[in-house]
Amino acid sequence: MIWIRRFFWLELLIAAVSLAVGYAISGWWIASGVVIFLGAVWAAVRFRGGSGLEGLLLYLFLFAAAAGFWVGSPGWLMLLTSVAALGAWDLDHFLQRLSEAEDIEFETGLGRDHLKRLFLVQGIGFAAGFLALIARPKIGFWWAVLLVLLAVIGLSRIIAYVRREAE
Amino acid sequence: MSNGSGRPDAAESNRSAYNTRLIGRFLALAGLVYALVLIGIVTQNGGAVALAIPMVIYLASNLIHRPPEPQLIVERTLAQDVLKQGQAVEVTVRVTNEGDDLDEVTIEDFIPDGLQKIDGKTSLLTSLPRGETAEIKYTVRGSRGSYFFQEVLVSVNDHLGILRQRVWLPARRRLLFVPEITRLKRVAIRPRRTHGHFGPIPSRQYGPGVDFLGLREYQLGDQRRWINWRASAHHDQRLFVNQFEQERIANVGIILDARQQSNLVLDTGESIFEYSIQATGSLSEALLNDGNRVALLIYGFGMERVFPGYGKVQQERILYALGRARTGHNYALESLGNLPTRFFPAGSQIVMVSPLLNEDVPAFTRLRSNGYEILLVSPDPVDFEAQRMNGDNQLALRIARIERTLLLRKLQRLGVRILDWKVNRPFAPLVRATLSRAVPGGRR
Repeated sequence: MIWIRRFFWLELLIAAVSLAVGYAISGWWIASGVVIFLGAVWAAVRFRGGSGLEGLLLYLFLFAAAAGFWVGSPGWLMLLTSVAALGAWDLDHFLQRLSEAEDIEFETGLGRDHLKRLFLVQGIGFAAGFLALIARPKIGFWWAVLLVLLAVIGLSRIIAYVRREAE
Repeated sequence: MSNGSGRPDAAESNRSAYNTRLIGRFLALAGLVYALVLIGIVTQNGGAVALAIPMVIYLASNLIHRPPEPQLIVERTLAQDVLKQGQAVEVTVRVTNEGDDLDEVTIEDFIPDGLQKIDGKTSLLTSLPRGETAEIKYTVRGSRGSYFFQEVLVSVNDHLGILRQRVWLPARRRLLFVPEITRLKRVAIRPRRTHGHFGPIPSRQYGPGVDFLGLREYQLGDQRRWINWRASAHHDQRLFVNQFEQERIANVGIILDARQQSNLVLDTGESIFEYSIQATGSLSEALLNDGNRVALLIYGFGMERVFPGYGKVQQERILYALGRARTGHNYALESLGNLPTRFFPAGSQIVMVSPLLNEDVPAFTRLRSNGYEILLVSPDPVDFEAQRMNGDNQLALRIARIERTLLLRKLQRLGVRILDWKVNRPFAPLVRATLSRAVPGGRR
């Protein structure tokens, strides 16, 4: 449990620092401060054992990282933020599940395996994202239209699914 | 005194088989991916789309490694099924995986309402490889009553906790806490009719026994030691012998009043019904120990019966029934007038355990006129309530006491033998003082 907690703090630190540094490099000091504040909020929530804000904070970090591209921050730092924020979000949830159970059998490899899989997914995700940033494929107009259509169809399916679940 | 289970009602809908659920996290992440892709398309900036790639891989990894359909067997064991109130019992739940390896399994057990956990854990998070068994153990304690353990909730997550399968697996067991009873030395009763077998109850019939019953003239075959020389000396040339009273066992019917309206519950949750239970248990044990044939009728929400029987097995039956007993309201059984008197053999001894209501007198009249000997054991509700009252209600208390005294006097006039129990005093000494000797003729 201690190791999982430590990795959570590490992931959060990487996410906040890389995003703040990215903004700082492009001269957006105030945005850097806001990012550090968001990181502190996340840390405080976790420290107090609260839950429910991690989803919102992940969204904020990711949107801030997307905006970082727009203001000219280094892409790899934004990608690192994305990967680390995803890891922090995952571990936050894992810690919540752990705290809900009265007894945990770590000796079965529960925590170790989770970390192993998460790091594998993060590694692959970072590598794939980095490749995409380097390759920078050009998307033509019709491809863009097709992607938008796919996005709309996918979104409508998700909404339908959520409604079904609610019923 | 609970008959419920601890299982939350909200979970009732999940009773059916294994159902895979995409939990909110999946939707949140999928929504984020869409948002980033849309931002990328709208702003014509590939960077935003690149940010979504780790998340897409994360989701894809979960969908590929979605948890297999769990094949689990749950077994619940209780160290004891029946125990005395207040005693502790260890509950063990074992979940065995007979299917594929499960990465993250949460096992949750729910303690029935009214039981108190004193040690151990009721939920466990673990991973469960094929063929392995996970175990949770805890100790509970409870007050008198019957408690039902129901299903165990098992949640199986995928390796990153995005997909979840939940299932309620049946592991039903009943736990019964029987009342603590006071040991009584002897309860002397004198019903009009006795049973055929030898026992401790004087039967009002001549025969082999200990107690003197009368004299008759000597007949051929009478033993010499039965001759009453003093009586014979008064008569010329005639001998008289002592006659003794046969001692037999009796049919005893115990009626426990479990009507809601006769029960009294204090703010502290203490109930006078528990004292009635204690008295019933103690009396039944004492009467059975004397060899009597004892039956029990619990009269309240319904009529629970324990048919007449002897010995320790019967005592167990009665204790189990008392363990399950609870008060209730039934319009048809509001009055003791509806007591099924045919349940008890004619002329037998009835022991009524009731705090008593004013309108109960006609029922006693009817029972007496049917030829039953009645012993009323009445935990005093006035005294019971007075313990918790402050000094403001002294007048009301006095009136209530007068009313009760009058009620008891009415019953005494009917020939009912009464044991008025102030519940703050121990039961055994009171019984010893009041009931250790039978009243001659069965009347008082």
